[in-house]
Amino acid sequence: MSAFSRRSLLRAAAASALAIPLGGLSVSMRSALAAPSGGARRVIFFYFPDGVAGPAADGSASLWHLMGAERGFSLNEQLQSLGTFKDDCVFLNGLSSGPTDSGSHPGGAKKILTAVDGGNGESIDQYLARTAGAGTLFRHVYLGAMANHNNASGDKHVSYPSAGTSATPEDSPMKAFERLFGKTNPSGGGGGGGGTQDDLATSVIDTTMKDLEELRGQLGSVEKKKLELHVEALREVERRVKGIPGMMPPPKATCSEPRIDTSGLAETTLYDPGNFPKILRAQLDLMVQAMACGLTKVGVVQASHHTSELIMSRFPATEMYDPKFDMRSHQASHYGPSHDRSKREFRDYFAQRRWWVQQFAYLIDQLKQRPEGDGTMLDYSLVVLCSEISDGNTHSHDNLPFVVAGRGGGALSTGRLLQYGYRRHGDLLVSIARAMKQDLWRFGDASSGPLPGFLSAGF
Amino acid sequence: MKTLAQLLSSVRGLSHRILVAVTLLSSLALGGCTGTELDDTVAHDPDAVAKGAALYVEMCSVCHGTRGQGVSAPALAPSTKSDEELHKIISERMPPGSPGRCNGRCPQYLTAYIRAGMQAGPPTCAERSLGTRRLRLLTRREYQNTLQDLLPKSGGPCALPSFSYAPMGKTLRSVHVAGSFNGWAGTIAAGGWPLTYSATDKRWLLVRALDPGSYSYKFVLDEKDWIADASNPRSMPDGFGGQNSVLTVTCKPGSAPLDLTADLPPDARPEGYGFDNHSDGRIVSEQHLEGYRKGAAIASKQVTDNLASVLPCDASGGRTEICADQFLKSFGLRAFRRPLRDAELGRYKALIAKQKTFSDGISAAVQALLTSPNFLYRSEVGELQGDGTYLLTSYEVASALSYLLWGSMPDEELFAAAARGDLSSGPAIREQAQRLLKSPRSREVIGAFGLAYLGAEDILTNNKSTILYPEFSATLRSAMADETQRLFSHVAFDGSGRFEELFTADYSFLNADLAKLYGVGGVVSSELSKQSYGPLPRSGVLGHASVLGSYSHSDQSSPIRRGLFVRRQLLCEELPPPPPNAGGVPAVDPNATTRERFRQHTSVAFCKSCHQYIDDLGFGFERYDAIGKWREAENGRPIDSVGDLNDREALGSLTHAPYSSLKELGAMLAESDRARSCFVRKTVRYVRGAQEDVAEDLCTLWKLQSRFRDSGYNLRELILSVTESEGFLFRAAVSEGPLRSFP
Repeated sequence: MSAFSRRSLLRAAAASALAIPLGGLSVSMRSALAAPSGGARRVIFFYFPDGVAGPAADGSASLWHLMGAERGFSLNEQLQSLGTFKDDCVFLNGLSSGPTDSGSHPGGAKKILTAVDGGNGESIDQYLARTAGAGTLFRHVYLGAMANHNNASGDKHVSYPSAGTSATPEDSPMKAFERLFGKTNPSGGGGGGGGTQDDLATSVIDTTMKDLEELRGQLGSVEKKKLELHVEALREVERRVKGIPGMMPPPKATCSEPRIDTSGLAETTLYDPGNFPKILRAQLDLMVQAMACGLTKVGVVQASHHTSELIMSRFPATEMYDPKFDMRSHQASHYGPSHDRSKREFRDYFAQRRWWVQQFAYLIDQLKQRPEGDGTMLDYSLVVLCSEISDGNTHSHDNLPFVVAGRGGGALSTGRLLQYGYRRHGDLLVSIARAMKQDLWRFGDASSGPLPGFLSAGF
Repeated sequence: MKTLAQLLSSVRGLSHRILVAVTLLSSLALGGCTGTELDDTVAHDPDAVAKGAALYVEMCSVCHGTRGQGVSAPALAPSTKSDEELHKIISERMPPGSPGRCNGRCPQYLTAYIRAGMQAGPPTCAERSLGTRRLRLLTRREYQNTLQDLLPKSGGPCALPSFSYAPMGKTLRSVHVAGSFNGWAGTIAAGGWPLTYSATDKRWLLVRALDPGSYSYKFVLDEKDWIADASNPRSMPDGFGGQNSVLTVTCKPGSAPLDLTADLPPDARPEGYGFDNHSDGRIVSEQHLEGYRKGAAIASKQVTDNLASVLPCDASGGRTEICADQFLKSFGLRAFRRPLRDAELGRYKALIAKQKTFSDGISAAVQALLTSPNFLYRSEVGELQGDGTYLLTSYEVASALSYLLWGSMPDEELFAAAARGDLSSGPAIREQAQRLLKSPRSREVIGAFGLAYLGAEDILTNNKSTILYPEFSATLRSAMADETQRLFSHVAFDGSGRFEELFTADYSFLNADLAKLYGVGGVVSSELSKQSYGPLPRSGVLGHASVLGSYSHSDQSSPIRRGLFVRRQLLCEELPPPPPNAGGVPAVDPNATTRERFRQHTSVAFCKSCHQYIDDLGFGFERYDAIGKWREAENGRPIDSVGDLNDREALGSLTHAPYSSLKELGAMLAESDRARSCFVRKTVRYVRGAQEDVAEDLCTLWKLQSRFRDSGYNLRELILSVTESEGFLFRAAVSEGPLRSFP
């Protein structure tokens, strides 16, 4: 078969899930069988807001950044939940997004995935979507948890399809599920004899595409960028409707029947902070499943957004929980000049950061539980934890909190702590692209090449 | 103790900064392209100084003083620096909080103003003020409205109440309706709804849309005799021994429109822009297209389900081809808001012919039309004129008017005017605009504009403490938003029509829950109705819970947000961003008032330079809690609610304007030139779908401001003036990049 439409692909995916139950072989045994190779098959960027308890204004040392030797270090209290996965991660110190707008949340958010001041460039996830992700059903999947709440302006989003223009994440796990797994596909489902409907959808898109091209021709330079992006988006939809030539069915062992837990969630309660943990969990599950089914290779999960009003004290059954007191992420992040545990803001900020790390650990765990090749999905993945600033109070753009998990198909040797002194974080982004077999040497402003010692030989 | 890595990090950070500075310097010395390129047009621009003056007030006067006398930054006049030096300092370092904000021609205008001794007369406006050629993607709201108007109706609309009075031979000067819907207005001038006499019917008549709900009313003859409506059998005692007539407005079940926007991403609004219609910020993504495809699928089903009523022709027998042609011409005209071009007609006919059945063909055509860029964007690109400018076509003008005033596609009358080519002159546009403004549909649009102008839409999604504010339910928050929208449409259409009433209205639109929150007695309905505040100290939008609650935290009021609300939203003033280590909200203290907690801002000199403009203003809102409820005391301590609208006409003028209640603040804002001109700016912004620029748009804004003043600050006149302005109809030839980019 040379082409797979979304439906036939999913049928294949569902059948394979029935055929191969999960976990016949223990994960540790799988890992021991052979070292993964061939580079990273996928990447997930996991963004959380408002930084970490980094170096305080009074000069006291960071409570986030680890100390020790490359292979001789231990986790601290903030990163503790990564305990089980310490050897699956690379911890990075000394990466900076540069001096421009340093001290600003929005400035940091615009740079974090673009490595370009003011978000004036394509972000790395979008670059990879366009390149490494080109053969997949969804080049790019951008999921949010309350990422659009109180965020009418796009400058709180981190993914940039083109210079100065950010993308909008999908905040509803229900809608994202529909979109990815096509449960209510308007042209695919419904009317009998799917073939006719697909033909109709195809000819409709052809007509629209001609309208679009004609309009572009008439306007010349007027609204050029706007229409180019429109065409690109339409091409993607076209590919999904018409089927993707040469696309291979998903690897049998990694795809399970898609299912996420959205019980108790409704479109109208997605901005209730008490639901946030559940929403984020559903989005993480969805991302992992979309990747397991081979629907996409590039994902971004954006938890809330910078200067977040998220009332984290309403997260049920967490150490932050306090129904009598509203503690917001951004409010807590301004914990004051010192790491003062007698202050409520600092205590809560610390607990909040620990919670974000737990969510990252959950994501790693989900990937690690799914077999792939001779090992697990994590062996062939890269998962990048990031935030727009370093310390929440000083808002520094230096020494940003980056952790990369996964062996990236042999591109990364994990279980290490790397110190870079001062180096632009575009170099990490370019390294990730290289891990995904892209012939790229620089990314963003002031990038000087892949991070030394980060990638394995041959990348 | 710092680690070696951290030490290294700071050292390298520093050297890096030096490197950047050196690089910049060298490229400047070489006359490189980093912002030193001077634009010749500025030297020949007679209004360069005036433009500089406008920019100066916007971004410099807060620190340098209104006359350049120096406040927290050095004095500027007289300047000993060369033009080149000034230009370099401004473009690279100013304003300190966001260097680079003054780019393009901005530094040159400012230099011209400083060079002119910081004196500027009124602009000459010799040059034409042309607009920009654009494609404007329908907003979610516009998309929904358009599909609703375009498609055959599935349910019935709301009943339209009609009033009729038979004078039985009596000669009357006037008859009007006064009721719970218009505050029992005793005169037409006070908001009574006039009936008009129909000689053929020998009756006084009025048909007027009303929101669903129950109302009581009376007719008033010659503005003095109050009588019940004899033609209406329903009545209730009026409490004075007489009867009020009772009217219930209902909508047919099934008329609730399908939400076709559920799968569309939110409309992106660049920081500080405020409205949902930003033309450049909203880009069609895959999610958009999937949402549009869903909408089109639903729409096409609605068309094919009602095929007989939609088709303008008989498609049976061998007539399908002719009928397809006729359908495309009529439906296509309405979908693209202009006649289909020949090539398009051919393409769509081929699409229909390609499908197995005629019905499938129509379905495919509708789906394609509704996902075509010609439907999704409304075109404001115009046609090339002899002088090199572009003039909007009559069809483009029809859409520009209908989306501006109705938030939807043109109606039959606009299409007819467009077909006649009637919409290329000011008077014709005004006539149509006035007609559209008479419809209740423009009330909704003006209400939505008002809520966005205030930035108070947040009330719909903000979270509040459930312990402190258990009454803050979904229905209450939506009533709060509705209240503000109703006030805007009431002032514009039923009230004085004047800007000042927005701030001085001693009434509002309340339901039982809102009335309870505000302490207004005697309101029992769940529908909003006009209520007087009586002796309560609330007035105008400043006292609206939508505003007070949007500019608060979840568990406490926020003098900062409220102060910034007045500065940014109402006065169009920008203050520099806070320093990185500013610190957050002071911790809640059960033994202090909010004002006491925030005292640090104005006691530390460095903080004070900005916070004097924020906190002192915001403290005056302290009588109202985080959901807009009145409070006498906070934590058992008395509230000091004296505020100061200092420097109200220009930051850096070092003047004081103390106030002790929101009523007083509202009165000051109602008469503030700065607030009025800010309102004009936001109106222009909304009409254009693009951020205005005080320098490049100086003449457009200046002319509109004077017309606004001449009209007695009439809201509807302002909108009409914008539609008559040159830039509405004429567009500039070259599509340049932004003359000044906005952060």
